Amino acid sequence: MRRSIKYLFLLAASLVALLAMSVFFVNRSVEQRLARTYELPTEPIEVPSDAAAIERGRHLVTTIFFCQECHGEDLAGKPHFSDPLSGTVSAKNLTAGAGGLGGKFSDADWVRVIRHGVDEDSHPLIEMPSNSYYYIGDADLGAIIAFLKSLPPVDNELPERDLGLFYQLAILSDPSLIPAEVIDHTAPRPPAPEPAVSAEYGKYLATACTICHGPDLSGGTAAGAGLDLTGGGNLTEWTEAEFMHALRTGERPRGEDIDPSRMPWKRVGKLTDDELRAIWLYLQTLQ
Amino acid sequence: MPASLDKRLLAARTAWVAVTVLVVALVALGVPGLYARLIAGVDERSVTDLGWTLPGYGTYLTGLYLLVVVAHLVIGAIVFWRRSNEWIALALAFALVCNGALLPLSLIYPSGSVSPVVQLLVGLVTYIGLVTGLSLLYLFPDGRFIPRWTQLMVIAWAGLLFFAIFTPTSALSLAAWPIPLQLLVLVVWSGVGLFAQLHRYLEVSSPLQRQQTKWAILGLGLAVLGPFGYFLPFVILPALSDPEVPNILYQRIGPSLFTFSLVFRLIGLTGFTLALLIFPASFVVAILRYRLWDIDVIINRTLVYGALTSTLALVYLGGVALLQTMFYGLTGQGDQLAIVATTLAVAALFNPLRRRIQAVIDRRFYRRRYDAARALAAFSGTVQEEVDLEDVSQALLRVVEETVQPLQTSIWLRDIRPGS
Repeated sequence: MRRSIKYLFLLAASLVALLAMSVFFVNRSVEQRLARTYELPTEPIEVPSDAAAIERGRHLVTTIFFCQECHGEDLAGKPHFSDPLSGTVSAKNLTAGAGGLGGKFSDADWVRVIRHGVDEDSHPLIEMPSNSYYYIGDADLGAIIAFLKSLPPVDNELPERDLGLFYQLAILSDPSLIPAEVIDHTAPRPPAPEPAVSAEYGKYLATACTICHGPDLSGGTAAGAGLDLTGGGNLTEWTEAEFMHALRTGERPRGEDIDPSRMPWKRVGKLTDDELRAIWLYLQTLQ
Repeated sequence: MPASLDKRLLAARTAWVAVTVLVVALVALGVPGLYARLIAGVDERSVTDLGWTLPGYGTYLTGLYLLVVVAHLVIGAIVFWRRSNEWIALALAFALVCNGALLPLSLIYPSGSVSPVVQLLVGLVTYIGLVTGLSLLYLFPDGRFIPRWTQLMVIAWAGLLFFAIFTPTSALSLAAWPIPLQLLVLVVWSGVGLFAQLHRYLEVSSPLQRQQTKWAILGLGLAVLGPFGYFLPFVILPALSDPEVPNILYQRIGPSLFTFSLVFRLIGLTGFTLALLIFPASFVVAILRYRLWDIDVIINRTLVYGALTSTLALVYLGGVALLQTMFYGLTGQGDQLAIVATTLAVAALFNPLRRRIQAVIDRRFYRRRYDAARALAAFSGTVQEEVDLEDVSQALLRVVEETVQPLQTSIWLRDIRPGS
């Protein structure tokens, strides 16, 4: 009896020690990756200040790149997680109010954050889908920055990031959660296509769709992931009119509702007819 | 028993029945709401990514909470049935019935979201559960306050809880005090109770009472410390399985973070909920193993037939599912055949399984009876093989000592030799 208790104790102690070592390893590994600094090439982006550019920026931020989904409707940031095991993670306040980035960011800082997923101190960000936003054209990026700088200040001081064990494990299992690590920061960027009803422009507009529908828009694997938008996928029997109707009204061709908590059709539905047609054209090219 | 005491006991028994009916009604009426609240409070995506379904998740947790309620109710009802003529047993019956329902009721009827009448009824159950739970720590096992001054602690506790539950916003309410002060109150009151039990254990209790109380005190201590444990999951468990997480963020992060958190949450909730069973379980051990209040036979039967029913139900459900799949694969039909075959199997299993479960429970809790049976079996073997009278006598003495444990043993043998 005593011997079995001794073995049980040894087993428990070994497990605890193993667990402690694993936690230490995970923590060190992730912290080292987040402490890395990225030396990035200077990218002169012209940030306009005219109303048309700001309006274009608003359209890109609110409708095409879904920034409000994470940063909140007023873009003043919001906490995502706050518990001991996942840690404290918030989407930043983008306005110039207290706790916001707007008051302290230079144009170059905005470029680094959006395009490279790297903060003003050259450390990598987490969650920010910069790997999708890397190909945003210079003019559109300038418009986005112009819009962000025009936001009314909102005071919202959010807690500093402090990753818990579960979040660190998630980062280990998915390197793209530190987008700076998966972006080729020196890759040539093709010029952004001109706005037109074209598959090329549709592809450009569908950049953020890849977050849920997968890199090739063939659908995600996780629960709640986007549908397969390629040929032979879930939209095979849809027409362009039905596609546009679905995104405008949240109603599929057979009458079923699209769940707005899964597919943000209320945002996408604000795209112009030409933009929707361009996306439709692009989807037709996918096999 | 004096007539006044008789009347008071009758009133207390009636109150127990009323409170039990109230608890059963509140829980039963709240089950659909509890299920709905549980599945509304979890992210369907993370449940699905875990390979589970939302109804499965809701049913599992609802079943877990109901298991706690039923276990407390059954033990409370048995104690009430067999020993409600003793105040201390009656207090335990109250504590079991009310404390078992505390966690589910707090989930079913969250404060501020139900009508004042329901709030009052839930508050009443909570009040009785918490007051009797702590009082037992001061009174168990003989119903006397030892040391006597500890009765003041119980009176003060009852007052503190009254204001905390029925006037939660008043200045006298414990609930309105700063958290450190609340914790201090809990530590002091439970600490003094544990001190009282320790004092009783070392200075007052008989050896048998010590055996009985060491198990019961384990349960009581956990019941009193329950409020700490109750809030713990909400402090340390991740709140990640939150349906509010935008889908784009969920997909961006990927399911691993959410499934980690859901698995941990499920393990945590299961562990914390099952820990609540230690309270009734410790009394079951005290009753079965050390004959607390001499109601072990009832508990024994409850355990045997409870385990038997659960096992047979599992065998039946599993058998029907398995045979249906097999028959369907072989013949394309077979629902009726599977049901008939499983029913026959369950009927055939009843007696062997009951004997097996009874043996396990006897081995676990009726060590003396179990050991006695083994000793007698060994003795009959010895008698068959041994011819020397002296050796047989020694073996007989040994087996009597092992099984009956008398203070003294001797054998008188009549000498039947001629002339003696």
